[in-house]
Amino acid sequence: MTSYLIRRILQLLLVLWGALTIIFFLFFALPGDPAELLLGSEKANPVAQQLVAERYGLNDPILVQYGNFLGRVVTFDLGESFKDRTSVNEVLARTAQASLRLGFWAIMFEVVIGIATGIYSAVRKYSFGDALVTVSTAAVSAIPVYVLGLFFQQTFGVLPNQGGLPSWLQLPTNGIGPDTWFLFFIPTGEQWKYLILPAITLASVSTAIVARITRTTMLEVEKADYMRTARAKGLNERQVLVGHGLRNALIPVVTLIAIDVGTVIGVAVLTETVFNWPGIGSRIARAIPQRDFAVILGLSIAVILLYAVANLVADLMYAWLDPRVRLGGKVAER
Amino acid sequence: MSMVPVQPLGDADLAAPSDQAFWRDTWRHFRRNRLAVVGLAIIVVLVVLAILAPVITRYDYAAIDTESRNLPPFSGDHWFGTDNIGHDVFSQVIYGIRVSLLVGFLVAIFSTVLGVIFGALSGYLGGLVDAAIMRVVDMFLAIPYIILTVALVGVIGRGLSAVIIALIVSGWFVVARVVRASFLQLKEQEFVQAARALGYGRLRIMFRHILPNALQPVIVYATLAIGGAILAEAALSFLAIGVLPPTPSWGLLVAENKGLLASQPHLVFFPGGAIFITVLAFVFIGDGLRDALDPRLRS
Amino acid sequence: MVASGMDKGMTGGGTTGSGTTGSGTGGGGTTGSGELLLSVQDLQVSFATAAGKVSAVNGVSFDVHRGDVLAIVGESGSGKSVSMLALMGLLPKPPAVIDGGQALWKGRDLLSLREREMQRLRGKEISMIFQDPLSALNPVHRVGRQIGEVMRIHEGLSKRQALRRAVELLDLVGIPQPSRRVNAYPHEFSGGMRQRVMIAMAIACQPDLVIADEPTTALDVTVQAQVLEVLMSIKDEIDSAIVLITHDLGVVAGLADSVLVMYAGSPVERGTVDEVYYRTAHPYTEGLLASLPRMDADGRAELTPIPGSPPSLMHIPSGCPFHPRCRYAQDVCKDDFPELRWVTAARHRAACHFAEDLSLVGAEQ
Repeated sequence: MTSYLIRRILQLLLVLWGALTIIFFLFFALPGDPAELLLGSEKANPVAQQLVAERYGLNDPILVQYGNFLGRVVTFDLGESFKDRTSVNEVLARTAQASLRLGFWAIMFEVVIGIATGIYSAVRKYSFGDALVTVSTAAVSAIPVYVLGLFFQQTFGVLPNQGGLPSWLQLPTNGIGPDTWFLFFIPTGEQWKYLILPAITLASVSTAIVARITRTTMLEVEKADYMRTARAKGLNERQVLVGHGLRNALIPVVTLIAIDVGTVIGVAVLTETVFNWPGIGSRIARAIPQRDFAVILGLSIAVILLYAVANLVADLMYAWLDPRVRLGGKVAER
Repeated sequence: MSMVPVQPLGDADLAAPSDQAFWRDTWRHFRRNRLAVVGLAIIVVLVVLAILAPVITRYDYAAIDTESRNLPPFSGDHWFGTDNIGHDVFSQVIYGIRVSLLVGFLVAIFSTVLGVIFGALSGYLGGLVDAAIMRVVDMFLAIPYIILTVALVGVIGRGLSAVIIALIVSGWFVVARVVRASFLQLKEQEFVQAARALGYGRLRIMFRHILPNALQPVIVYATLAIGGAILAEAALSFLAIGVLPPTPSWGLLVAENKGLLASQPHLVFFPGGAIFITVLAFVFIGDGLRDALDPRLRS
Repeated sequence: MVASGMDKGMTGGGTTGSGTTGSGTGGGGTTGSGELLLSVQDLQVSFATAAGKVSAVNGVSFDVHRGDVLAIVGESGSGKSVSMLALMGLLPKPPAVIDGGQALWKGRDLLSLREREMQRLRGKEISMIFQDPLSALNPVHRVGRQIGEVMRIHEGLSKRQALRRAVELLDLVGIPQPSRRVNAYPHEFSGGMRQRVMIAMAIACQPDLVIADEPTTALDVTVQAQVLEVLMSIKDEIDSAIVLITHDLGVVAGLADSVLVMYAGSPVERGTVDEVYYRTAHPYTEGLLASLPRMDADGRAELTPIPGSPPSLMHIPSGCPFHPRCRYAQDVCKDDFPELRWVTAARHRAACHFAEDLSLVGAEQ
């Protein structure tokens, strides 16, 4: 197991280096003189231009800039916002909290509802309930996340207010609210009202995917020979399903969820924008029209690192759950 | 013991299953899946609407009519109403079909082709080629999709062609992985050894012998990728880094009108609904294809 | 002389010691020794498919006494596995339908038992070994746990006790270093070893009957013999009966007491190994025996397969299902379905209109 772990970490470092390099060259290959972009309205001022160029090392040859970039990444210095000179690290710290909390609940939702739905529709295969689940998971994965978010806003924010729907359905749909938490993740007081809609929206696509994959793997496992063997040993249905089927079926699901962190990140950009949730995603979205590349780049780097760690965790979990991967499938003597 | 006469081979024994029969069978299975057929019907309708757009719409999608602003749906000729500048929403949505289908098909086709080429090379040739290609794929996949597409659009610029190129570039990696896995498995099979024993060149073996066997997951992925590309373009346009106005992108429409949600929700939900229906249709078709092609479900 | 399968009459009751354990050599031991455990009468199973109802088993009957080794022989699609799976209640009930027949296990009809009662029998009184041990064993559970599971459920052993017994069982089936290997996973064993693990699992609760469904088909030829040897020695050890499902006639000759040959869902010949092999009474059996390659044959002699191929179960020929391929076929064979009829010995039967008349060539001595 440890050799597996070491190999994976080395691979990860290589891949990370590559990803950061790609991002660097993409961002620095952006058209337009960065200095102009940085200065915005002040671009005519040559002194300001010079200052900016020195400040950001924009006149250095590209490789030197690259070296600086790598150096800064390693020391986790993400630079300063082009717009308001606040440290990107600070921005990250602030927005990360909001995103982590939202993401946490989205993943909770996705795991619980997704797996439960998947198991239900597998066990009740071909029933009306199963058909309903199949159609609704397809539907959910087809709705653009922001449309779903806007729909929730309309249903729970606007209509109860205007009288189209009963007023007890009213939920806030803008911002993070009181931002009060217990043990970092648990919302206190009215906080849950601000949390629930964005969390469900964020979780929607992933929940649909998890439900479908759980159903598929459960059905595959159902047909597996070892299930028949278990029945031939005299186990009852529950023992067969839970003791033998579930563990095998959940392997791909669990790893999917871990990898899903990446999807959540992408979807978060859209969800946070719609609900004005002050997380990393909406911050990046805001920085785009502002052309604030330091922020975009800095936050992107943080996200890439997080994503890489999540993938590593997923791989490790997979190896832990499936002994065939862990032990390399070596065949014994004779 | 007397010799038992050998029966002559009947015609049934000699006829081998042909490609044609394969696709006919696939279609037969597909047809039985009601959702898939519905999906196909929807796409056909959309294509027809897209082609007939100039005929069925009365207004140019970019035309502004300040006299008729903020009209609700079904006001006279403006079947979907107008927005706060005077655009005819119906026109925008109908012409938007062209944008979405164009993006969807082009991105899906080209990213699949790229993915197949690299995946095949990687899977079949193995060794350094495989390692190099896969490391590059891993590196790109380590960057979350949105960030990568944002960066690409930043480099290439905005606009419809830029978006299409950006989506193609960020889309082929997953296909490559899947194709590589298929090739890795298939190249160990005996028909490949037989082809090599006959002296066939590597390219020929890869693309004329192995690839047809590896196509099933690719076809399903490509179909689902159409929907994915449509969603991606809409998302980019929503974030204001996609197509440029006045190109009638549904995502752009949602973005422009989201501030008016409370007063005129139809401005958001007509284009939003259009995205939903289109992508859903492709999801149904993709699922139907997956089931129709699954060898275990055909007996 | 109209001996029916039931007339040895000992249904349940009375334990007998080991009876005559007809082990090893063909022809040793007569059926009918020992207590009657299983009596299958006219079992009929069909499947409801999209293309209509397919008859998989069409009237199979046989008895199994304690210590017997019964081999059920036939090609794929002959219905041999389906019959036994039906007995165990392991066929998915739609689409499978049990159309008729009885399967009396110690007097109780297995086919009418409720699922909970079947669960009590499975693994404890009747157990089953499957063809491909790699897919039949759960890949994520250790071997010791899978073997121990049967004992924990049926005999209430604790985890620790079960594990200890598992080690003993692994030793019994000939797995080296059993106390270490008990913690290994299935994929860490070779094919033959895995099958021994399956055997260990099947005999853990000392069942009265072990059904082995093509236990050696997925294994190398050299390993096949070893696994069968293990199976036979175990049988003596725990005094159980064995039903061996196979398509390999060579395997049958060395091990079984009685043979049931099936074709297209129907039984075609039944009797002791001696009777079926050397006093063959059905053309299909004759064809099977003749098609076996022989070590001592002239190297230039051609192999003689049975012409044609087995029918699809959707289109079973009228009358005798074998008639299109039978070189003795007459008109009556196309029209009338031949029931099993007695030949010479009271228990030797063949389903052929001309069973008593034909003098067929069986296996040469």
